[in-house]
Amino acid sequence: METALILLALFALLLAGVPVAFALAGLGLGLLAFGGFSPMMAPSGVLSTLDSFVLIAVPLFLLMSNVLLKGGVGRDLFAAVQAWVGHWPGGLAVATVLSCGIFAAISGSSVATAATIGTVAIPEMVERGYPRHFVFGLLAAGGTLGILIPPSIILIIYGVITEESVLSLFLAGIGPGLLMVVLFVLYSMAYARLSGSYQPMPAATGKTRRTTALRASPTVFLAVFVILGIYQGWFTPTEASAIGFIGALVVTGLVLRSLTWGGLKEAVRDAMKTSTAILLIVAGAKVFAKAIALWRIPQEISALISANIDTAGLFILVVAGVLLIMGLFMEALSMMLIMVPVLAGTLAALGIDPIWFGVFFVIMVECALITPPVGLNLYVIQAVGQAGMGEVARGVWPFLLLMLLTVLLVTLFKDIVLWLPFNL
Amino acid sequence: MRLIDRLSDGLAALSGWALFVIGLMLAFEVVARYFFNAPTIWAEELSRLVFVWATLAAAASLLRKDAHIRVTVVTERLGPGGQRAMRFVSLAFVIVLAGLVVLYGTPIAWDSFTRGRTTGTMMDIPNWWAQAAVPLSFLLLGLQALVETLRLAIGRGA
Repeated sequence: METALILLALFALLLAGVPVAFALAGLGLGLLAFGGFSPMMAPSGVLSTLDSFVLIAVPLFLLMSNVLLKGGVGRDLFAAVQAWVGHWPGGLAVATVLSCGIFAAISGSSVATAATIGTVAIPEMVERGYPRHFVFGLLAAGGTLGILIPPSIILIIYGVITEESVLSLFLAGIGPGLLMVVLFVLYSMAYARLSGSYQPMPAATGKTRRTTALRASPTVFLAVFVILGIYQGWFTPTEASAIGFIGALVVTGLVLRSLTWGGLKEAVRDAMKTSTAILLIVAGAKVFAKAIALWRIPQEISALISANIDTAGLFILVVAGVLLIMGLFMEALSMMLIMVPVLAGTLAALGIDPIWFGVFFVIMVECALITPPVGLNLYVIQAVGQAGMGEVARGVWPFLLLMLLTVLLVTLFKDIVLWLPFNL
Repeated sequence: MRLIDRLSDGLAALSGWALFVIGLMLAFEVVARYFFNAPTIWAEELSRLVFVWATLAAAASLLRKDAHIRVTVVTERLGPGGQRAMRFVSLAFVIVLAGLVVLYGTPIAWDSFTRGRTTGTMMDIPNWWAQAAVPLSFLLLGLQALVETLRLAIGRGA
């Protein structure tokens, strides 16, 4: 009963348009006060959440990708990949998917990936006669690679709230990320073959290949260095984000000389905005999670779950369903921060690995986010491609099915997720 | 009102560069460790302190620019009157929350200040250096929300 009322209050606040961070913190504070617990836990909860070395990686990875972005790295990457695979059947589409995959290794956000690659790839693909709805769907879905292939902002935050290793989570995201790249590439090639409505590209000359590859190489080197350094234990994920940021400054400022002072200022401002918006939600969610834990809500929900659901498979199916519905009006991070603290207790009872669950959750959340009519990636593609929602929605369905297929595959073969973290 | 606006935006700009400085500090830490075999004792702790302040201080400016993440599916379907009413509700909620956080957060920092409590870590800095960030930034957030409410009431707000 209390659980239902609290959830009702939360959704009422959220739907009234109260910023998510404040809705969570305020409701948490109210619950503490009414429950006879010390409301001082609210300010101290905010502080203890933010006083975290792991979370510092969030603004620094954002700085890294923003600096590279302002340095025009998206364009360089796309040009290089296109020169190598552009003449394949559906070559431009393949190049787009691969560019999204590479950019994902620089950026930890799906919106940034969709926007960056979309800006260069959409005009090019439309000009070459690819159907617009296919192009939009491809980019909305390609963007989701951004949070699967490390670094990933949302996996860092999952690691913080569940106290799992960020390194393991990063490793776990690679397998499914590559699987999705392969699925998208195969689909693009098949689609291009069957529809035949595009003009094939001539193969690029060896010289173009070399020059574009050379220009993209510092960025690729930086991305590899950052990820490899984390895995090798050269530095922690947070230090890696600092190295990545300084590296991004060196690459765009000194090597490519494409970063302007104005560009740097914008990069810093954008990173600050995104970082504060995200981290305040994390802090608000912490206050809320503390409060509902004292009200024993997670225990009640997990009792409810274990009374009705006895297999891991059914549990996963229910979570997937709930996420798809919540995704109709909420964005990824808020969904995760509300759901995960409530569900975390149930995982052990059902024998579900928390690392695997993190990756499953992230893919599911992303599916929810490209499900029309509401989704951040869809909005971004609409804006970048100057398209209507109908067009984007029509194009996104096949990719959504491919992503659900990925979810199914990682559920059936858990090693896709867990092999790397357990064997490296 | 202008004063609050300027304060909020100025602090937000500062926050951005503070994040920049954190990046420099932590990169320096790695370099110092590997190349000079001399890790710092201050980089981790200081970067956490700066991070807390930078994140919280930008909250007011984000409110002013409506850059906080919120659910707009319902509100954007309302008419102009309904949207205005919802904005009032939302701002009022933020004002009350900010007031309560200031009310409950100030004693924590004040207590540490008067008793001279320190963190007991490498740098052993006073506890209130970080604790003061919560009530002060929520004070600014509350003031900014008041300013926005006034603007909305006299019809000059978004």
